Amino acid sequence: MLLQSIKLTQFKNYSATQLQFGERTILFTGNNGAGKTNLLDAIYMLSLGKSRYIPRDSKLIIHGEDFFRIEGKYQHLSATDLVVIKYPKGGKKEILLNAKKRERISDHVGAIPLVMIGPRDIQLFFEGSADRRKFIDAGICQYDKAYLHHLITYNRLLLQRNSYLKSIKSTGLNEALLSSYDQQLLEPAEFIKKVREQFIQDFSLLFMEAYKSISGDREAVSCDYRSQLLTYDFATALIEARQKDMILQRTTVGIHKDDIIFKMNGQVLKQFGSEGQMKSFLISLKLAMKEKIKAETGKTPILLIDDIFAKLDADRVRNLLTYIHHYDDTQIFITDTDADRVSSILKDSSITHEVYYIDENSPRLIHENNSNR
Amino acid sequence: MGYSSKLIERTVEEFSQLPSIGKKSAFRLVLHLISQPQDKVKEFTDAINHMKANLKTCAECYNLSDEAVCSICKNLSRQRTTICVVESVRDVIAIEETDHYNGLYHVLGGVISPLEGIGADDIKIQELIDRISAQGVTEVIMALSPTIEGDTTIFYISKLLQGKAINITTLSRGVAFGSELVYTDELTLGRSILARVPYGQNHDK
Ligand SMILES: [Zn+2]
Repeated sequence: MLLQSIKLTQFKNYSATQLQFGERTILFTGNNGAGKTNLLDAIYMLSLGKSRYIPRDSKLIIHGEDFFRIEGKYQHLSATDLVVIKYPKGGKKEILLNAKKRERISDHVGAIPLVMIGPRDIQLFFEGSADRRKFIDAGICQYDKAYLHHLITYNRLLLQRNSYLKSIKSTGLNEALLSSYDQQLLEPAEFIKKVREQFIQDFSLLFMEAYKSISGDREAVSCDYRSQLLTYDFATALIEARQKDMILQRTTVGIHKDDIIFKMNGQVLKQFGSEGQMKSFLISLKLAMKEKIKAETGKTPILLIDDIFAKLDADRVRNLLTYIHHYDDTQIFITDTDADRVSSILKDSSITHEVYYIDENSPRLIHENNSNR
Repeated sequence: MGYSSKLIERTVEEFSQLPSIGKKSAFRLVLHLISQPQDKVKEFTDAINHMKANLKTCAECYNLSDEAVCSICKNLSRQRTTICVVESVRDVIAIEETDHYNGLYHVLGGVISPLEGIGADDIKIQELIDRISAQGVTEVIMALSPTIEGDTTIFYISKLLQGKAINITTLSRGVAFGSELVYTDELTLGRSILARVPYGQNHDK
């Protein structure tokens, strides 16, 4: 996918801004707070239907106004796609693809595949397993609608089952109802487990390849799928955990406990990796995800890189950018406060690109063509 | 809006609390009432008061009714061995309008949703089970919303009916029903009632 132009109306700090993109590598630079990340967030939203950073849509409207609108024009092979997102304050968010309204926001996910790398992603290695599940789910959902559907079903059933567990104390146990929830959970859980298991198998190979290319390091890296359901029959596990679930008033077994273990040279990454190694690891995970989505959809995802080059040595940055540029037709949007850092690497590596300087006072964009000649 | 009269203002206020009536429509309705003779207006308010004071819930199917048992349940030409299970009275009306159904109904009054504080005992499920046993029902049609909560309710009821010689069927999927039943056009809804499928064969979405 190539984003050819974007138009923002009353979105974050942009009252009315239009940008045209002619290259595959685009750099947004400017001081902190100037609005670089807001541009990436708009591009993110056009693909995933929601902001990466701000969960409440009303907070995305420029102060004092009553709606925002984002429009993106894409090119894929010879076809063009127009995506519009509108949100009137107090109303319902709407997504339109080629002027046709999406019934649900989730229907849009996957139409314009996208992968983003941001500074907070490093938490993938430290936080609880929820972040790691979210990482793989966010990828799979962009190409597998059945998976997305089963995931929504599973999560809703889980929420209802947990609510029911809480109510048992006052109403008493209704065995038939609790086992109704148990049995309804089986099918989506089994589906999700199978897809995740297969996903990690395919993904691991793409991941090892990406890591080798961008780190230049010789560490052996891997990621393993962990699920209670790999060793236990879920139906039996639910029955065995029933007493415990009733005491804790939540469901203690299931695919919502799945995890992915990242390893480097056989050791769990968070205990042994340096910051540089971790960033390379993270970037490789995201590039592998991009490859996987591309393989599944036939569309090359857009890649957003938000402010992650600080503290990453120039060699790794160069490896990454040249790898992406020469490997395939991915369009990358990069933000960096240091205009020279990325720019000079791009020039040295003969990568044609565009630089947009975003002014702090008025978020107007100064276009500077830096194509190499 | 600035009204010249507090009396009008108060009436407009009452009307605008009705669903899908805004202030403007409320004002229009009130103006219309003002132009009517006093006894016409009295007929109007009497009808509302009389209805509210005398309306009952059918003791058998929980549909709304003028008497202890509703006209559908009392109608002897209706097939008494088939019960169509719905969430609300609105669904009964929608299905009745199709002219394609000649059995009885059972209005649950909702679906099971612990998240919203609705347990199995908060809706008329036990009443349904008792009725099925007492009346020799052979087919139960589940016409509930195609939501997780609708599915759970169907799953739970069919669990309670396990081992009994009862045919459980659902409306064919792909047709909106349950909470969306009223918005489905009569023809599609009618067809989906005729083309109902045994429960369990309709699981893949
Ligand atoms: Zn009745």
